[in-house]
Amino acid sequence: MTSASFSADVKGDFGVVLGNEVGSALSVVGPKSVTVNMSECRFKITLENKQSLLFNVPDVVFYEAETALKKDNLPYLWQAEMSAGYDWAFKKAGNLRDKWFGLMCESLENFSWNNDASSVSKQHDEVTPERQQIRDSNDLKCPAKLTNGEWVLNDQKMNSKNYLFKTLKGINWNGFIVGYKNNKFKSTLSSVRFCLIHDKKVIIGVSENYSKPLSLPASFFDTIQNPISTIEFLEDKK
Amino acid sequence: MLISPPFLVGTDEASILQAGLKNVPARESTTQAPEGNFPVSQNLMWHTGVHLEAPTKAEGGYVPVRAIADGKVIFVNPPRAKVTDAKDPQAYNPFGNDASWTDNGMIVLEHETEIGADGDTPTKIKFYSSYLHLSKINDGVAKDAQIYRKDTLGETGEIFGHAGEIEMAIACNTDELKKLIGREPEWQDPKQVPTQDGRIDSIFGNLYIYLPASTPTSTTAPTSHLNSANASSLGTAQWIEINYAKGQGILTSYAVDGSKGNTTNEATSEYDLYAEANTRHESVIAAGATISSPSGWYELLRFGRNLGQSAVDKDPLPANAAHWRKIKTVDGQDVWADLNASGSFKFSDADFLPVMGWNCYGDDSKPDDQRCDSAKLKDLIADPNDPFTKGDKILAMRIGLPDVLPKLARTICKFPNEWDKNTIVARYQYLKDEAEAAADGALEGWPAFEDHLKIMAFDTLPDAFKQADWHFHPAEFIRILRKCGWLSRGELVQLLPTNSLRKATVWAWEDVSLNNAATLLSKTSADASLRRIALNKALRKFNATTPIRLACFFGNATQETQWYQKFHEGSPYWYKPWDGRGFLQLTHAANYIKYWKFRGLAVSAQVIQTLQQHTTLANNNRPLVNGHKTMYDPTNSLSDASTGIPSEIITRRDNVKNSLDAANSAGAYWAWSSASKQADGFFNDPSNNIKVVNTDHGTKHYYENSAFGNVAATVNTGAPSSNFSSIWGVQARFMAFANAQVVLLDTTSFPQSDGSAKETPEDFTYRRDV
Repeated sequence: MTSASFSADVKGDFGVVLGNEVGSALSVVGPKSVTVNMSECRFKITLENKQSLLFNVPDVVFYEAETALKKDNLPYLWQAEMSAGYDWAFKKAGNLRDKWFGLMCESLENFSWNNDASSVSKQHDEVTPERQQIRDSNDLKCPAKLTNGEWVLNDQKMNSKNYLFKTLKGINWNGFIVGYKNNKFKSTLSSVRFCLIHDKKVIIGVSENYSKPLSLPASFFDTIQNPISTIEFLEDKK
Repeated sequence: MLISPPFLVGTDEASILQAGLKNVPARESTTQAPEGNFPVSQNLMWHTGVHLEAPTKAEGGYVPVRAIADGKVIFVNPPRAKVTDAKDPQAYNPFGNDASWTDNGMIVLEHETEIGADGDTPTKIKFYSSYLHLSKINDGVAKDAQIYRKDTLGETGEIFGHAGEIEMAIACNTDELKKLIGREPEWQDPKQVPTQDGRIDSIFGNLYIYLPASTPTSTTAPTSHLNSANASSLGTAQWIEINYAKGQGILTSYAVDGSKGNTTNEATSEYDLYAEANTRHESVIAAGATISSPSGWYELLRFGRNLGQSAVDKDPLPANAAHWRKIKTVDGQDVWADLNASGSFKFSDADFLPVMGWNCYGDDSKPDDQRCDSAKLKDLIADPNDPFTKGDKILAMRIGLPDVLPKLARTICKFPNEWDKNTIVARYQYLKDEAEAAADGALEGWPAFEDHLKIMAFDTLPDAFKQADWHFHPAEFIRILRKCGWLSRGELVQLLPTNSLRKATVWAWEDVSLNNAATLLSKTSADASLRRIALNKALRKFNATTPIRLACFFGNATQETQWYQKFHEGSPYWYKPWDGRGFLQLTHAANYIKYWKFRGLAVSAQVIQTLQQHTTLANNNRPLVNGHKTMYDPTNSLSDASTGIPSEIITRRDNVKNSLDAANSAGAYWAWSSASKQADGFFNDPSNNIKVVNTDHGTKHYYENSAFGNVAATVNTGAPSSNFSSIWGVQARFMAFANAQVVLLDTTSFPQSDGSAKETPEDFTYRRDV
């Protein structure tokens, strides 16, 4: 996945830029401080040893492994081939215990919990069917809402033994993370989702697979928070 | 029809036209007009074209000469190398004794294009553009070669010793002129009161509405949108021009003699056309009208009349619909006037209205010589307050006056081809005869002049070009036809990109097939022709005719239809059979219903309720797998069998993939989602940001533009949004948009990965297999 033409050196110094602009790297291996340009979301993240980031427009994939994942085992973004609206998910081939997550950038206006009256969409007196579909989909991708200043999981009926949930607060963002345990093997997670909100931007992070669930160690719920905690949103370049 | 100046520099319409159509200065003493003026120049002789001065390049020299439109080379005369001999015929100096070289390189292009359609028949026109006094002609610009707009033809040359100049001309024959201007090529009194609406086979640019003195007016905004006898009336007949641009509606009044009155600026009326049409429709429905539709009202606001698809196929509009607009009359009164009043008549720039200065001058009493003997043209030049100013020398001195020069630019004049070697000496013979008669002896210097004429003329000019004896002012011709925006098949073909990007585990760089786009682009299919006409009409109706709006439309429509292969999405997903149809793939029952309501097509409340319920059902029935809703509804709750909706609705829905609705639904969606407004954001940020992507064909590039990204989001989600990264195929849309910029815009700049900038994107291939 690396491309020599984009990055002269992604191993040595700090401050590597990951993205698809000319001169940016399409992949970075830690330890390293990385600036990520992912659509409207610009942020810094610090990678530890054995951690990698891959940019494959429009998504970014993080993984932690002793050796680089083989091409066929890399997680990848699936997008629904739709003429209206959009939907997406990540898929993972090969070892379902691999530690990884994918990132996508979204706008706050595309969530039902967006109450910003100045939103562009408010210029229209109706929520279009396409926008509603996107919001419904994003509500599943970010399955919590801010209630009285606290993030609360949408599905309050779910048995608390079946998931892990935690509110997150970063340098200039807030959010949450939720891990869903596998039905049979409660020590493993079938999927993990986290959402980080900064201003009108939302980073959606997810470890998931369709249709066979992942088998992530439960400890991944905690260790994944380390790289996430280093994330700092950056302002637009303009 | 796409057309542009022969020199292309600048970044916006005004600067591009100013730099690309700049007259050479006034230099000779008989006219005080720009040298090489149209249609008459020195000594009031006919002059085929205008002398234009090329902009200079930053690195020195002059920018190249470019083709003004797609066409075919029908004549090339390679320039003779410059010589230093002052007595050389090409160094002839009519203004002095010093050598003043004039280059004789010449190219003639034949252009066949379309400017509209009459029913199912495209309005095709043919005209010629010629480029004279070139010092160099590019390789490949040879007889019969296909040329595309903006192709570089060669280099400017010298005219009487002045470098960086060309003479450019536009001509057509009588039959083509009739099609071009939509009437017989006869002089008409500009003050003539119209008795019927203008042409319908071509409508573009500004609208012009003739209002009789009896036009009802109101000092306050009328509450009824139906005609009614009104206590007050306009009192004085006048014309109203409506110019829609960048969201605004600018209404200007003109007196019946064409003199400009006053202007009213509607700040956002162009962007608000859809909303206003709905408001007026609802108003008359509330008042009890039974024949009405937002679409019909939209046409009234947009065109001043309900054009529809044909005389018998129009979306409903009350027969007594009023078209109230606030105007400032010629005498300065701010009033609301009914622009659809009895006795009003509607036109557009396509009518080349005499009251707006356009007229035909085919009355030269001695057409075989070069002297202008058109009494009508002389009347135009003469001082209206001094009837004794019609002597040729006096008239010649008037053609550069500020109140005369602009009038001449809108004259369409009939006179022989200036560059035909077989007749050129005979056409100038009168100069010799008159001078010798006056001097009572042989004219000194005539042989040198005759030699100059001969060497500057050509004996192999194609007959078709020589027979094109109606001439336009080329700059004004370009300015007016730029408003057309009607795309011919050849232009639509070019808008189909040659490559696309498709997201897979590794990005796929794919060819786009022209053969697979036959549904729209077939040369022979009658259905494809109908689709092209319907598409152009929809783009025209919904004001998507500016280059950037067109580029934004096609950047999306090409990808949405999978390069014109799918006018029905044929999706297996849960929302079928209400999946995508048409150029922008109208999707979801709610949007179909919205479109039908716009067109005034009835949908019962029961059907609406049923479809709403089943849409919810189908959506809710999507299985949740690992926290993600699948795209499929295993219960097929929206199927026609499940909803049980009437067959009429099913047929109507399925017809949205067909020519009329495929285009109209896209246009309506474009309008109600405010896509034009998003597209116009390009004027604020036209930058193309190069992006790199690893593909199965190696490293490739595409270009993001924020305005287009907003349009893509608008088209995809039905409302403006700055977020587009999640849209499937948005990178392919960006590629199609970059291609459309190359085809539709005059000047483009795409940064390259090496830091340079070029007119075309990196990895770009022109589609030229027309």
